[in-house]
Amino acid sequence: MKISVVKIEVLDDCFKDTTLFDFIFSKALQDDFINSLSSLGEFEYYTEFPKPFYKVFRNGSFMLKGIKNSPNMRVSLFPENKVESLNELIAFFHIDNSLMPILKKE
Amino acid sequence: MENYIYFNNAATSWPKPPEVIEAMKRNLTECPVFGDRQNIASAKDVVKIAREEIASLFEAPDSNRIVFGSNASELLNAIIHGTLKSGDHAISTYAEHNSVIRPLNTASKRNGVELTYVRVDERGYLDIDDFSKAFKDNTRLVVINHGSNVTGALQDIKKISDIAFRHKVPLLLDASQTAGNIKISLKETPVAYLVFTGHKALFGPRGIGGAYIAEGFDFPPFKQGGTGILSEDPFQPERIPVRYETGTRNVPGIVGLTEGVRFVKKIGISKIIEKKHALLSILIDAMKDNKKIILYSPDDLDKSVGTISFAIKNWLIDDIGYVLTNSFNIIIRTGLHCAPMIHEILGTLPIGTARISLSYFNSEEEVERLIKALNQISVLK
Ligand SMILES: Cc1ncc(COP(=O)(O)O)c(C=O)c1O
Repeated sequence: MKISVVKIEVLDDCFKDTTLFDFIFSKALQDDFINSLSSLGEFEYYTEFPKPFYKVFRNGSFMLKGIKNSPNMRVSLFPENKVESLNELIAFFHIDNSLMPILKKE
Repeated sequence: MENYIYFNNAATSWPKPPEVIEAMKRNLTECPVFGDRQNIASAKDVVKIAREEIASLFEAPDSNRIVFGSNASELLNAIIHGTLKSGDHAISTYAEHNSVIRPLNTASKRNGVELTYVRVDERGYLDIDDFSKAFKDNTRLVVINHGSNVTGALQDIKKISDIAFRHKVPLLLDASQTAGNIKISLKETPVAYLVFTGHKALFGPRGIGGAYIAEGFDFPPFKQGGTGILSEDPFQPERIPVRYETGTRNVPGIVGLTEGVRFVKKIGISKIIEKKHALLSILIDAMKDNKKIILYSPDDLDKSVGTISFAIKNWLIDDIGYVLTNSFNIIIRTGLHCAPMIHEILGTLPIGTARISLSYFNSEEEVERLIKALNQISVLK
């Protein structure tokens, strides 16, 4: 089964203007999926940590981060290009329309 | 639940001594005949006992002048808004928590209270000369954070209190970070108001705090309502402590706090300090050896409440917290720690710092695991 986003949680915003979500996937994320994120931006993956940590950063757009073997991904949208960044992530992760109202509310 | 190593005791302490949990459980299980304004003959008044335990911890002369509230913020608000009026001037510092900054700024906006925030240095210490120069004819209150919840800097409260006394200005000491962590003696250093919170180094539960209000420094009650006594009076009774304790009190919280305070007394503040200093020395030495780590805290542990702020070169502050929590199961805190002004001085706005705060319950092994994690994280960028 293909991995998909099953839930999106809007988080409290620590920094003004940055929008914070947790994307919750249908399965815990593994190396193949995590490595495929590298096409989205500057990619870091620290496999030597007790629980490997990945991060994808696109200047002025977004930051994604998370831990291998967890279905959760922390998503920060920077204020400059929120709508475009969001649309790009929706397309990249094939996010279902039914989850959209939660996203649009922000 | 996974096993976590907890270094966020400046936010709230964990774990709690078993006695605290037991006492709260007992209080919630027992028929509530004891201690909450009941008629039963020879009832042991658990709230009175709590006042006595706390008064003796702070060497306060009168336990009836210990009043309880829901947290430190509530009492800080009550005192600031209850004592300052239009045309008054108040002195505070850049090291304050928002629980002081926001009520002061609100008093300024609402009532035209004049404010002076005295700067601290890059370790968090107040310059005593600058502080002395801040007094004016209309200064009516000094509010000082005893121990910084960002850098750990302990202010020289003896000097501060002497200066405030000389100017005949009441001193409000925010002891949220210091109560239970260092010795506080109101006999040696009298202050007009001392505010404490129950859930940090006093090992009580969240949602309980209080203040000592010295004789001669009463202010109008900030809430009016049921007090369980003097019910025929159409107004809030004048008598302290009921004057400030309106409505049903958080008795389970008060009972838990009593046991937390007893635990602190049983171990002894000097033993608590000794243990924490031993752990902190190991940690600080290792952090100093790591050239990628930037420390924002004082070197002299005797002038610190034991909280350390830091950054790691090339790492975002938020990522340090995320990685420690999620990759290493080590809980610290990142951000401004509700004390935004001190970050102006540290140069750490808008993201803040990473913060480590120990408790008596931390072990050397836990500290070693933290050092290992910090070293492992810092070499990678
Ligand atoms: C210095 C300082 N003052 C006040 C407070 C507020 O305490 P409470 O949460 O009990 O209101 C805190 C808590 O973090 C603090 O560190």
